This record gives sequence, structure tokens and C-alpha cells, in this order.
Amino acid sequence: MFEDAGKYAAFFKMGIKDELAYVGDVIISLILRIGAPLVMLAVWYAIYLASGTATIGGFSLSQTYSYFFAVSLVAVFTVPSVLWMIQDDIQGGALGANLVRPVNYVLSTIVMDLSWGLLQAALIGVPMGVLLVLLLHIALSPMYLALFVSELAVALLLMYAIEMLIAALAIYLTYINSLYSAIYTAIAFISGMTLPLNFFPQWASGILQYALPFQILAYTPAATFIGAIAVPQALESTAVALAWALALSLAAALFWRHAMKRITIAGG
Amino acid sequence: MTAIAIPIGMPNVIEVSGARKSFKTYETPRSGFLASLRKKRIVKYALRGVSFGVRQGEIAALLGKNGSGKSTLIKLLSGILHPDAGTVRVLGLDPWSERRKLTSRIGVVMGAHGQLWWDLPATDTFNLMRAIYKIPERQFRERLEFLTNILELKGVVKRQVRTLSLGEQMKCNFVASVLHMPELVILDEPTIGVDLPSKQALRTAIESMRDERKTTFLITTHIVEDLAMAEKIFVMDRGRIVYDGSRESLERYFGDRREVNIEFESAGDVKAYTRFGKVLELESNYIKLEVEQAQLRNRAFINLLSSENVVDYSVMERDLKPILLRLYAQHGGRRGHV
Repeated sequence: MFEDAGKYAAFFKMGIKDELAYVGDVIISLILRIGAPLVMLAVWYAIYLASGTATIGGFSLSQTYSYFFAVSLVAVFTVPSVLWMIQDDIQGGALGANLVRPVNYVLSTIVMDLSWGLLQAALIGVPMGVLLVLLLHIALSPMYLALFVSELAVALLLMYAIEMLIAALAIYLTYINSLYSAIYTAIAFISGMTLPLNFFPQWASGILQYALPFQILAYTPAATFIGAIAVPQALESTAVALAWALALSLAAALFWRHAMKRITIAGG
Repeated sequence: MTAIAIPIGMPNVIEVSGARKSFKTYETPRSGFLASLRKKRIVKYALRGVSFGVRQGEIAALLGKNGSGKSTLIKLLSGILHPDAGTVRVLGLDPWSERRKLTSRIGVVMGAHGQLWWDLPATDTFNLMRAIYKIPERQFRERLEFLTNILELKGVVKRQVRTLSLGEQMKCNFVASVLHMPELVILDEPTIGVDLPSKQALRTAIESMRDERKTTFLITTHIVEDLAMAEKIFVMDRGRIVYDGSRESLERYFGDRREVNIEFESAGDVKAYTRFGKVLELESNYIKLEVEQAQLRNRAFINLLSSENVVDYSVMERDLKPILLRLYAQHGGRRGHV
């Protein structure tokens, strides 16, 4: 494995070069990502105004604003595009060409995607994070920053596991856009992307935060970033998510092994 | 199981025996508005017991119409597909179970599905290949120099791939697939849509690698002109190999006919010529004949061509197209042996 590290380092480098070939697109993406939460601010302003209360689910209006900016920030770091890369290869028939090289197709695809993700994180995520800390007056302690970074790493692992599971399905179904939309919509709801989890009834919030892993994709890191969650609570949620991420990664690896056999035996 | 004819001398790089492959697919029997909702499951037999062998250092051409099973066979040889029955050995390895080991020793160009990165110059892809195949820096430079010279790519490789012509892309794809100097190169339709100079450059590169390194080539094509460099030809039709032999034997087997164009000063005596062959075209001052190769040595025919009324005549290069069409029509599922 380690003797092949140079191969995957080359894929990483190619991924960065490829992304930088269209730097204008990266800049437009930056503007859009920072601007996207502004729509949510208007919606939540109306909700708070209509409710006539100063807090909802323990969040003030300004905390809710901060929360949704933080959710956008988390998404910059944790939304891979490996699924679409694989679907393109399957639909376009390029998968076969990728299998005739002495590299692990799945690993090389993930490495390329990671390179794009890290470039986005450097060009968009870090400046956006600094901007939010300064504009929203967030007191991000080193402890919370370390916790936030760890949560992002677990979130990324979980997202890769989910995307690889769906990508393996693409080998059987070819088109998985609708399936992905359905799954992503459900995840957006139960992860805290559309609604902070503390806005749910207590029993539902408990399940979503301490039994299911999806909170790591939005609620837990966003709440950590704005300091709205206690450290033990964040650690517990992260540990649950990590266990799920590892289990789903194993399932994805096994599913892929089966899917690759199907391609090579049944002809895809 | 069909026996393979193992050639004497060089070892066999490819050995295929009784390979079969079928796919389950769907067809829509009707063409109405809701036809897509009523699919019928069918089994497509892509290979129906294929056996053949290719020796080291040989350039072999695999010829066949679209859907004849060529690409399926290529996928079997490169380990992307597993045969339903029969055995496949490439460089002494089982391609499917030993694919990772095999891919270091072969190069594959799969038609339009190239190795090149669309938004980057081809040199970046070449550098990626250097890392993938762990090619030492000095060898990489030497090989790149050799290939870019022979394929006339010097000014091309630094341009973004998406801006290159189809011929330039195909040549760059070829370079990316052979930089590690594989023992076997499989080219799936390498000249499709490629202009004449690029085709010629590719042929020169292939022959040069065969001569200098004993590289074996298997080239699938449905373009007859690609056969010029092939020593061995396999013709596939409906999942079977219907011909396995040399180009010369193929021509001999089917009569080795040639076309002769004759121009006359004034209207010629057509009847005198029809004794020697079949009239393909006829105008007042021109006749095109199809004649047996042997007629070109026939004194009577030569004398006729030398008569005063003949302004000019030419014997056309051998065209395999009619031979192949005849072969497809005749084989009736049997293998042609020569």
C-alpha cells in the first residue's frame, strides 16, 4: 500500500491542477456559498417576527443567523463530489478505461475528490470561517476549534461512506440522481441543515443527536463553531457519528467489491 | 473445446480458447408512446466460443463489423470482463483474477474513452502515467522524446487537451498508454475519425515499437486500411472468429482479385478485355476491370494493355473490403481456415 503512495500523490496533484484550470469558477462558487445563507436569514427573520418570541429552541434570532452561516461553512468542507465522478464514469463508459491501470479505481477517485475538497477548503472554507468569526463576533476558543476540525473530519468520512454506497448502487441502476435527491433531502432535514436539531421535540432531538450519525453533517459542527453546544455533548455526538461512519465505510467497501464483480462478470 | 494453433518460435502473448460471453439486456419490442415501459429481457451472446493466439512481436488486427464482439473480447483480454466459459491467458496471466498485475504489463487504448485529462495539457497526463507506472525520470524523458518525435506531437502536448483535434487527442492517448513500454498494446478502434497524416504517424509508431522492442499489438478496427501493417488478421462476425490467418492468405483464399483501370484514346474493344475479368465500370474511353492476380502475369493481357489505343492503365492497391463482405456473407457461422 505505502509503496503505491506516490501514485495516489500524483492523482492528488492532478486534482488540484484540474480544479485550478478554471479558477474563475472557484471564485464564483465562493461568492455563491457566502451569499446562499442570506435567503435563510430572511426566512428566519419572518419566523421570529411571526412567533413574537425572543428565542426558539433556545436560540435567539442572531444565534439562528450565526447557526445557518456556520452550516454553510460546514458544507464547504463536507460535501464531496465523488458520487458524480463515478456516475459520469459509469454513464460515459469510462469506467472500463479506468480499470486497465495498476491503481485502485475507488481510492484514486476519492483522492482526486479530496484534492478538490481541500482546495475548496483553502480557497473558500478558511476565508469564510475567518470572515464569520470576525463579522459575527464568534469567540472560537482553541478547544472548540480543535473540536470543530475533528467533527469536520468525521463528517467527511461519513459523507464519503454514504456517497460510495450510493455510487455502488449506480452500477446496478446507472441513474441515481433521484435516489440521491431523496436521500439528501432526508439527510438535510435530520442533520440540522434546514432546522437546528434543538428545534425538534425533545425525544426526536435526542435520537437525532445521540443515536444517528447525520447530526455530524451540520448540527454538531455548526453548534460547536458558534459555541452553542457543551464539549461533552459534542464529543458524545461525534463518537456516535464516528462509529456509524466506520461501519458504513466497511459496508461501502464490501458493497463495492460486490459491485465490481458484477461489472466484470455481468458486464455492468 | 477448440484447440488453439500455437505458432512455432516466439511465445504466445495472447491465448484464448473457447471464450464465451453473454449479457442480459433489455429491448423494447414496440415503438409506441409507452414503449419504454414495456421492456423485454433478452440475452445477448457477444462471444460464442472464440479461440485464437497472438505471438510476441506480432501486429495482429481484429476486424469485424460493429457489434461483432470485438470490444467484448478486448475487455476479456484486459481483465475488465470475466468469460462465462473458456480460458483466456495474457502474458501467462489470467486477466480477470490477476488484473492488477497484468495492467502494469499491458497498454490499452479504448477508443473515445481516453486517459487524457480534458482541462489540462497532455504533459500532465504523461506525468501522471510516470507516477502510476513508476517510470524512472531518465527513461520517461527518453520515451517521451521518442514518442512525441515519431507522432509529431512536439508543439501539441503543452496545449489543453480539449483544444486538440481528434487526431492529436488519439496520438496523445496512444502516448499515455505506451509510456511504460508495455509488452502488449491493445488498441480498440485507434484510427476512428482520425485524419490520414495522424493515422500514418500512429502506424509508424506501432511498427517502430514492434521492430525495436518486440512489442505485441492487437488492434481492433473496422477500417480496412488499418490492416496494412498487420501480419495476422482475425475476422469476427456475430461473436465468432470466422477467419484466422495472414493478410496474404486471406487474399489468396478469396481469389486475390485486383482492380485494373484502363483509359483509351478512342472507344476500345471492350469484348477483348472482358475475357480477362469482370467489368466493374464502363465508359466510352474508360473501363474498370476486376481480374485474378494471375491475369497480371498473363502475356495476352499484358499485350492488350500495351496496345497503342491504351493511353494509361493502373493496377489498384489490394482492397480487402469486397473480400471481407464476401467472407461475412459466406461463413455462415463457420470458421475460415487457411
